Amino acid sequence: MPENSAASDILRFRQDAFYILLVLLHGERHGYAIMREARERSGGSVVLQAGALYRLLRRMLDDGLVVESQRRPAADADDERRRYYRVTPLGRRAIAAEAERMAALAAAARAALREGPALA
Amino acid sequence: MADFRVPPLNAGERLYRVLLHLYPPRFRRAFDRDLIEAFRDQRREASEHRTPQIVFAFMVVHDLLTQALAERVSSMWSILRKRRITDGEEPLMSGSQRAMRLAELRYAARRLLRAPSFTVTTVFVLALGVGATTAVFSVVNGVLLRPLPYADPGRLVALTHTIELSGVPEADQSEASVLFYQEHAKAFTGIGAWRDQAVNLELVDGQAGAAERVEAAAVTSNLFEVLGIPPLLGRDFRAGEDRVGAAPVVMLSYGFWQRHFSGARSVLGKRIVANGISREIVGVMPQSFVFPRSAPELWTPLPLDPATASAGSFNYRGIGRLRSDATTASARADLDRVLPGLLDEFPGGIPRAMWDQAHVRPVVTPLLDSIVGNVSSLLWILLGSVGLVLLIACANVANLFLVRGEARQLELAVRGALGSGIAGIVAQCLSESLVLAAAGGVIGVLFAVVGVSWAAGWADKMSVPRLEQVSVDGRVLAFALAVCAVSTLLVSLIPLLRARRVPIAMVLRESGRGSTAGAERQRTRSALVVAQVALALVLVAGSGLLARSFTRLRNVQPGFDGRNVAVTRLALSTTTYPSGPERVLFYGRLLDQVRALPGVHEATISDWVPLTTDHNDVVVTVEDHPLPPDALPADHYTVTVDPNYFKTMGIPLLAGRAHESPYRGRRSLDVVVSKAFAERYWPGKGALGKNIRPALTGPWFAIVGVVGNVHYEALNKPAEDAIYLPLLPADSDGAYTPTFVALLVRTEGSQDVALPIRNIVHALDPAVPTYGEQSLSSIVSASSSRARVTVLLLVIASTLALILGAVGLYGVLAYGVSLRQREIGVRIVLGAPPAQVSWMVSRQALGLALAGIVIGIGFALGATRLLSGLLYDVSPTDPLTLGATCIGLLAMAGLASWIPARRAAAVDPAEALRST
Repeated sequence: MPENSAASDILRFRQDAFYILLVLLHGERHGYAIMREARERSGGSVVLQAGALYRLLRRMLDDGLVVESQRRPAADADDERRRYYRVTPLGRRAIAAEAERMAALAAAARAALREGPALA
Repeated sequence: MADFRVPPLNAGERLYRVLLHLYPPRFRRAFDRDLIEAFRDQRREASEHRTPQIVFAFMVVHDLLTQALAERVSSMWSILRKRRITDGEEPLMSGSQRAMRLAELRYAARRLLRAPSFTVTTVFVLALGVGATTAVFSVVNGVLLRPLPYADPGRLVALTHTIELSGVPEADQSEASVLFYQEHAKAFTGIGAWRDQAVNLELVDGQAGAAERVEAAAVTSNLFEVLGIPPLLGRDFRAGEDRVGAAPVVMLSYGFWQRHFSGARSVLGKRIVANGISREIVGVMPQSFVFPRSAPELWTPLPLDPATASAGSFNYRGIGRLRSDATTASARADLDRVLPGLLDEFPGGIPRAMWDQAHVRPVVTPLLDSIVGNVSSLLWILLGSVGLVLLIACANVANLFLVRGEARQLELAVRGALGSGIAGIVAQCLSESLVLAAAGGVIGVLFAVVGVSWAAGWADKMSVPRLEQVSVDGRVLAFALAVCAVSTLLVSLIPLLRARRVPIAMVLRESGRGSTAGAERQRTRSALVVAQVALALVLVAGSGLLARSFTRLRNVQPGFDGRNVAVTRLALSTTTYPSGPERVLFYGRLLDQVRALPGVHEATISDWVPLTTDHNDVVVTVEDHPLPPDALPADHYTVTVDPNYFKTMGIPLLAGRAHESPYRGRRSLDVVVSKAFAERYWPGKGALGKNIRPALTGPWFAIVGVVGNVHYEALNKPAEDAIYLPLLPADSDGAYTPTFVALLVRTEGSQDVALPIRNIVHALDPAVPTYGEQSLSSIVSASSSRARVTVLLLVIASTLALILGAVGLYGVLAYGVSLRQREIGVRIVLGAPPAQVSWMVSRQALGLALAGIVIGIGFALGATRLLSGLLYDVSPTDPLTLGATCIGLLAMAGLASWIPARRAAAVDPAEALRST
């Protein structure tokens, strides 16, 4: 499917982008929340700064993987000034395709490690 | 509970808001509120975690700068992409993007061909810059960057020692230290050693040819294994072959194999006779094999003898291969740990007290560093200079672009008004730059290919090592590409930024009348010129300092008269001439016959030709300067000479006499010393009759003469204190009579006596080879050739910089005059004399030059510091040189303003006012 392959092309080279989508799969978030959650979920390996985050978001907005959310979360937790983002159906498909690809890679690597000559 | 209070707008946030303007407008408009929110959140988090403010500031600024730059680049690309979709100017080839891109480039090429002088100038300047920079980089790449041609070269290290002996700061390996380290060191997979020694080749495969002197190296049997290079043919040396009494074997270089055996594979097992020893050929090394530092044609195993190995004679170069878990530091610690046991195992050769006093400490250096040595700073400086010239050239081309942009401003503005927009203009500019850069790059690489051989030529004159590695490879091409890309970017960036700021109305208005946007462009051009002057000043100051240092060096008197002295080296075989009297007999007969040659004034024998790599030194005991027990006497240079040496070399005899003649078999205890030596030990008093000895024990030698100082090592080092020993000293059985000597012949004029000398030697003994024939004056000039070539290259670079700077200044002034024609016309009408009008232009030139000079001096003060290692007797901030540089640049500015100034004075007011 050409649309899917285009989407995973965009993802393939950025672990950061992958985590942003992962965070947004759990619901709508504003920028700072994405930064914080991405860091937590990745065990500290994805540390996004604001500029990097918004550049990635800009690209994902352009590519149609995320959109600005019109809905707001519960009123008491809301902050008027903040903008919230959510994953589009295309974004969902892209992340699924990427996960498949990585699973296939991991399986191939495991198999190779089991079959290969012993190292020690 | 989250704290929703908005923190006060503090200085950090205000700065952040300003810096946000680095992002492209579209991005900033979309996200600035979010970015500021995130900034506040992050700052709150940072203060909760007690992150130091400086760390937080660094993280934020780093993120902002990198992301803003990246976003700018990608927005530029997206503009281009959109233009391809929206701009209908080009016919769509097939709808495919690639075809459209090609069409765009073709259109750019067509536009450029319509402006041939602009195109040719730009391409030529770019090509010259790319070519010169790439050629110099090819040398840097081959010498400094390319790994050594051995297996896993990063693990190879040179093994030396530091040593605290007067006159000798470092030492290589001794037989004992090599054997000892091989046995005990743990950080290495192998330790090898070698000693360069030329051999007399007598018989090859049973055939006697003319005696030939061949560069050879005596090596430990594991050396090729340590280097990781297997032989092309046969085998390399086996363990145990490097011990005294092992069967004599030899390995050949590829060149030797081709020359003497025409590359026959049957060479294995055949024999050659070298230095009187018949050796079996066991292997041939591949053609690509490069030996570290020297280029031997034969390798023989060292005859090491653990029973007699001396710890104190550091005559072997050591090389080691680090184990994969070792570093140079850990290897050094390892050697340091074992070294104290050396004398327990090898007590011969040096008394323990003396060993302790010498404080021998091992040193482990990456092999590449040890081979390249001090050349690296020189090469980087040259690359930097060429880079500066390139920058200045780029500034000139950028100015050309600006002028061109101005000429086409109306066209662009109209296109803009018709809806082509910024995107079209940017795309046009970029595609033009791309075409120019491609042309400049291709021609530049061609220049570089020619330039590489040229660059290798001068590098050879500077005695740069590893020149065989210099060529155009992938990395050099990548470098050329990068230079091309960067210079294109530099060249097109400024016009591009200018291009965005032109409102159509203003351009249309301006095309009718004179100018405000024109003035703004003129300011940009002036700034470029100021930058050019500043860069040129750095180069001119640098080359000025080196030139001044070089003239000082040239004025150094070597201490001898090098004119009309021919040098011929010869080597006696120790098997044919085992003892001193036999060698002296040969030298005496040789000198008699040489002196009888027509046109020969004097002839002499010496074992050290000044300013060459010859070198001998020895500890010298002075009788009336007793040392505390076990203290080590100072080390001094020793030169063994025939009594006619001083007369032949033109070294003045200041007191006493030369040695007695050794040629009737008289052994002598005469010694002659240099003035520096005499003054060191007996300042203000006579040295004649004092006793010294060139060893720790043995008979005393009496000083019979004092001679002038000679620079033996180098002209830029102080003249050394040296002692001159007789050819046949009485302290041994003549074992100290040298077998490798130079025959020095002073002739009437500069006639060539090499052939008659060769014939005389051949007639005396056909087995004695002659080699290294050259004139003493060429040795003297070769000794300063590195300095000379460096100066020459920097002078060329700074001349180019000056010319380019002058051209740039001229262009700005001339253009300024053409812009101000009306104003000048008005001034003339109002009665301004021509001189005043000229001065108006010249003043502008001097103003620009002064601004450049002030900035340039700042840079120069920093940059010339890099030269300090290359300067002799000149400070890197030498006020005279810097002052002269400033005056020179002002003179250049005056010269560049001359024609524009005259043209301004010659403006015809009627014409100028009518032309509006």
